[in-house]
Amino acid sequence: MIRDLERSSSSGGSAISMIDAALREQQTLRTPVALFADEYDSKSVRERFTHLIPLSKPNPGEQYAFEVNLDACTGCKACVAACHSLNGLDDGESWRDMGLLVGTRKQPYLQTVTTACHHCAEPACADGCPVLAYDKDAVTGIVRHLDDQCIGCSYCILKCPYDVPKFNLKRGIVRKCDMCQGRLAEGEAPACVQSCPNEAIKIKVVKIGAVPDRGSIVAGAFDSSYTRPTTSYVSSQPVSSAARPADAGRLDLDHGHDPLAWMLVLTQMSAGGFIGCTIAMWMNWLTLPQAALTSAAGLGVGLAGVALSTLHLGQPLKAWRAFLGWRKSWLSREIMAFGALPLGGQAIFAAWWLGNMEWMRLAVTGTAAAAVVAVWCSVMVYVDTRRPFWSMSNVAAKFLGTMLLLGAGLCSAVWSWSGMAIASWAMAFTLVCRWGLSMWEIAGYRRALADETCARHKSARIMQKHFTRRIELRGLLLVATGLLIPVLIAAGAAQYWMYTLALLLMFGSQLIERLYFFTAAAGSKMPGN
Amino acid sequence: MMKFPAMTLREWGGPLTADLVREPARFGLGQVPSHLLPDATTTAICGFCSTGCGLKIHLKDGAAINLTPDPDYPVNLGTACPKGWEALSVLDAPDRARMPLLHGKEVDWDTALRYFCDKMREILDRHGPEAAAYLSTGQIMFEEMAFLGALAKFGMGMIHGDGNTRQCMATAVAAYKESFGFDAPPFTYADFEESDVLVFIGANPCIAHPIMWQRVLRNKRQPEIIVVDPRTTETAMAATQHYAIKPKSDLTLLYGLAHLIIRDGGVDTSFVDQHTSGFDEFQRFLTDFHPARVSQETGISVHRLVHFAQSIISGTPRVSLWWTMGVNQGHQATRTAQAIINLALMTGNIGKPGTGANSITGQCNAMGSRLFSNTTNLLGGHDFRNPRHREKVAAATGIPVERIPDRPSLAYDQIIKAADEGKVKAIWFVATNPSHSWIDQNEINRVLDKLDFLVVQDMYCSTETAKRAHLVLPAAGWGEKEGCFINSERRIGYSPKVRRAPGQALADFHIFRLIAHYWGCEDLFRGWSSPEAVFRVLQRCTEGQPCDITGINGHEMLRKSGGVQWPLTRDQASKFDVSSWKERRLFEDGNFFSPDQRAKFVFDAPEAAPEQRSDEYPLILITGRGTSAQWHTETRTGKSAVLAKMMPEELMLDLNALDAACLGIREGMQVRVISKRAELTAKARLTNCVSPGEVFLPMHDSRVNQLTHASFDPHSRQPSYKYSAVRVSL
Repeated sequence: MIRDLERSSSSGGSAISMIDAALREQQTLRTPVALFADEYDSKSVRERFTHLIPLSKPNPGEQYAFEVNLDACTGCKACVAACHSLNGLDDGESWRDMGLLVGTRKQPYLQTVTTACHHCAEPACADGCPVLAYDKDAVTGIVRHLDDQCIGCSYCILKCPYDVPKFNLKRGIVRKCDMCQGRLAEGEAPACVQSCPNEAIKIKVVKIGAVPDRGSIVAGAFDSSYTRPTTSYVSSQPVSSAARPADAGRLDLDHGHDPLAWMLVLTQMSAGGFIGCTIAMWMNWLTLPQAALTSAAGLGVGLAGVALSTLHLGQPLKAWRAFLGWRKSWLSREIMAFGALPLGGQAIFAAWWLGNMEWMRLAVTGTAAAAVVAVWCSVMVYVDTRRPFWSMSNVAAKFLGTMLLLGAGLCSAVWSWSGMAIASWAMAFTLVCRWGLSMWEIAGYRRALADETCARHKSARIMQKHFTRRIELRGLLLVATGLLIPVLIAAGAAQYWMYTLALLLMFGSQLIERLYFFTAAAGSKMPGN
Repeated sequence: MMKFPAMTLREWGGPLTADLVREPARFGLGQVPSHLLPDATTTAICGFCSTGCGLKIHLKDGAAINLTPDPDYPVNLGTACPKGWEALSVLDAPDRARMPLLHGKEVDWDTALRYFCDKMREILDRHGPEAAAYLSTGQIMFEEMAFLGALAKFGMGMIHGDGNTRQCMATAVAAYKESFGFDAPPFTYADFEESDVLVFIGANPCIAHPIMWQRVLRNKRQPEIIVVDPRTTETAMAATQHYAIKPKSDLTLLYGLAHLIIRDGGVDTSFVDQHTSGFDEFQRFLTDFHPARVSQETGISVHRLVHFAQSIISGTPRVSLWWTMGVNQGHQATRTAQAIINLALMTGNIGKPGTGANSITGQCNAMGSRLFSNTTNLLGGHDFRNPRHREKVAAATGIPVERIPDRPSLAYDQIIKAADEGKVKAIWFVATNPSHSWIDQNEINRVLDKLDFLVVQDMYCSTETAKRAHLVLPAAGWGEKEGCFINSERRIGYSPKVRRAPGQALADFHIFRLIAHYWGCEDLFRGWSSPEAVFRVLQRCTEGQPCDITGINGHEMLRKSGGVQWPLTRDQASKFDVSSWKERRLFEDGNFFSPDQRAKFVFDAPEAAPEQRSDEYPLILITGRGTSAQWHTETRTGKSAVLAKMMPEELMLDLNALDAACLGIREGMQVRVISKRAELTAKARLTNCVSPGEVFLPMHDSRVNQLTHASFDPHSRQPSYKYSAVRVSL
């Protein structure tokens, strides 16, 4: 109180009110009227860019496409910022990106490359989507993403060789460029076209039949035969033949889809378990309770895998539509095939309940067949993305190898706990698989690392850079399961403990492999920085 | 609450789709996102670089919600670079200064202002008027700069004040003053479009001034574009001729070109005779710069030198020469800028469309600072030493003439040196971040830590300098206050307040008013009640000067006419026509601002840079702009997630592939960059865009200026950021 009085008796009193006045003034915005809310009397957006967009809609057999004049693109990146602002995107989100092409040792060369969705003639994103959340507009050819249909499975991200669709974590869906179709419909230019100071980006009408199906649209871009991208990059001087993306040498990790890694290993173990159970039943090695136990183990593992895979969806409640894409999408087919697992489980349960060995055999065989088909769909899910690391031979060997390895391991563990002699045969088969698969993997990795022309070279270098410790750990696991455990068994250690331990260690090893199956995939993209 | 999905097979619409719906807006904007639909718009001038783009601010209830480039503004014609597009989002950063901070603790304004005044007064009383200094900026409104300069010098009695413009534009100021008689960039941006030959020297407009480059590409005359730069920049790639000279051989090159132009008959003798002085001496001086020598010193073949000179001769009279930091930040920068001016003068390429010796400015209001910061020059481009000038400014401002110091300030580096010697005890930094940006950074930080009182007035409390400050005064930023900027082409533009400042941050203008009150000198500034009122005071200060703006009818006229280029005298005002006066250049009558109305040829013999390569430090480090998304020390641009997408995630060292091979360095390796002063690590990027023996680092990383060698141009006192000896190793 006294201090306050002192203050106001010196200069303070009026000073405080001055501060208050300043703070008040600072928080006051003048009304729009005072801020001259002038209606525009100059050219509107619609009039300003007529020379950069088509004046009429495409005819049948035609579609809209971006055309980028590389001579005018000098790297200001306004298009990236404008896409964000004019489309009201989230923090850090933009559907345009800017990359850089550089020369080699002999030739100084710099060329910035602006890139967005190429609205492909044969969009791989749409073909891969299990719920038909992509629509290629029949008139404009714009590849539009249906945000409310999307289940956030991210498969389109793997399918697109240009890294266009981006996962939006906040919303649990993918979002991508729609060529500002609403603007084009009104005769307005898309945001990026509006923003380029040098008019480097245009919208053209192209004949769909004439969209190239070979070569690449710009140095460093994926082969056009896959999706037939419609964007054309034009330049008065051809892009240097030596040009390569500035980020070509980067060994960055791709997104890791951990729930999928778990799902793949578990479902493959389950399928293998059913195969083992089927063979043993047809050889009459199993009693009904033993068969029930073995298939229960397989079923439990498989269902756990399927359940875990839903963690990877941004919108799991919408996943019931996953059958919609079955005509083209291997993911849709995979989801449906794994849907057979619970059905098989019910049949097996019924046969066991009724105590009918014949039905049991048929139920187990049927479930095994469905599971193998599902694993094959898993293989095709990845092969269909055309990544070199996910080639048919590589993925098939990994997935089928894992299926046999862990399936036999599961059977040996389950059977050893039941005291069955065939557990040892199963374990012997497991060891053969283990050594075979590991030797194949090691040899392939070394070959890819040494050979710069190998399609899997980049993935091998990523593994070398980021995962040397994990590869070493897998080596130790190989020694443990392939050598130590057999020696211990020979020395008289309890079989059922040893078989179970071997199974767990092999599962761990395959899980590690499957985690870098995703992160070292070296997905292709447009030139970056 | 969890919402269950619709039971239709395909959901074509819904809440997620609605997030991206665009609707037609009024105001000529076309479609905008529905959640960002404006109810009004206004125009502002971008507060990053000196291009001075007009931005159309989208308002809702008076507050800015979005922006688009202004299609009607004569500078940018409806486009902006990413910094402009993101100008609003950087205002929302969490590290905005919200309250005054005294020794790192939040205090109220009353406490902060009392402390500021007590401490400053104590230091000035005890150690004299030279013991406290202020360091201003090119980033705030010039009404605010003028208030700061007037308050510190006339009100508080300081002698010394300088600005961060010393780091970017001091050279152009010194060069123009001596050559033209006044600091007067002669061009207008239309000159980009009207040239037959454009020569860019030490400039990379594609990246640093993209909207000026837009004007170059609008040139319909199929111009020859010549770039002089040691690096193969984006601009060099887009040019028709690129001369990758050895670093800092620019002065020799320019003299060599002048020699060849004389030899090959390219001199406009009638212009030289009528409008210049000193040409004969210059001609004699140039005899030594024969092509063989110049070729040897610059690394450009004689054949190419002749081609360069011929291009200028054949392009005359539509040759424009443009320079920026590559020239300004050199150890002989002023003479280099004047060598460019000399080329324009001797060929008569000045005062006509598509001509000029043109300094592209750096900061949004560097040109405002040059006229009104009251640092080197007395308000309005006057001279502190001239008693008539002091009296004139006293009359125009109402400040008693005895309060106006009769000598100019020390330059920035001299203030820091005086602080090191203990003569300066207190420094007040406004909107600048020297702990990051000043050359030989460790040295300035050592000195700053010695100060008795370090005050930082800034938008962000997280800047390297603010973290060292005893007192941080939280300032409102661009868009949160009003006032004027002057761009590279002398265009004065008005920018309004469209946002509320966070917490208790106040416009610099308010802070200066409050300090005047707490200091007890508010009577001196009674008329300085608003930015517009100060604008009127400053107009009076310019009367009769080359930069006379007495004809501008306040902020309103600036807003309505797309900015106004200085000069606009009262006499001209009656003839002013918005459409035909949009682009004006100086010296159309061939008369310059020197007493004899002649431009002067100024020259000096080139000297070697102070720090040379050695066995231990065999590479020359060049620093400069990284990407178009980055601005200086990134106190602002570092806050935008969209801009972050456009910059490298880590510090990249550009290294020639041959040097890399010798050092055993492969693409992407972490390398050490070591100078005599410091060491840092960066990721190697192998490129042929720098020559062997040279490396490049972008200036935005806070460590880069630990490496740079502190040398200064003797005339402009501008630091030389482009030439330091370093070693690179694994």
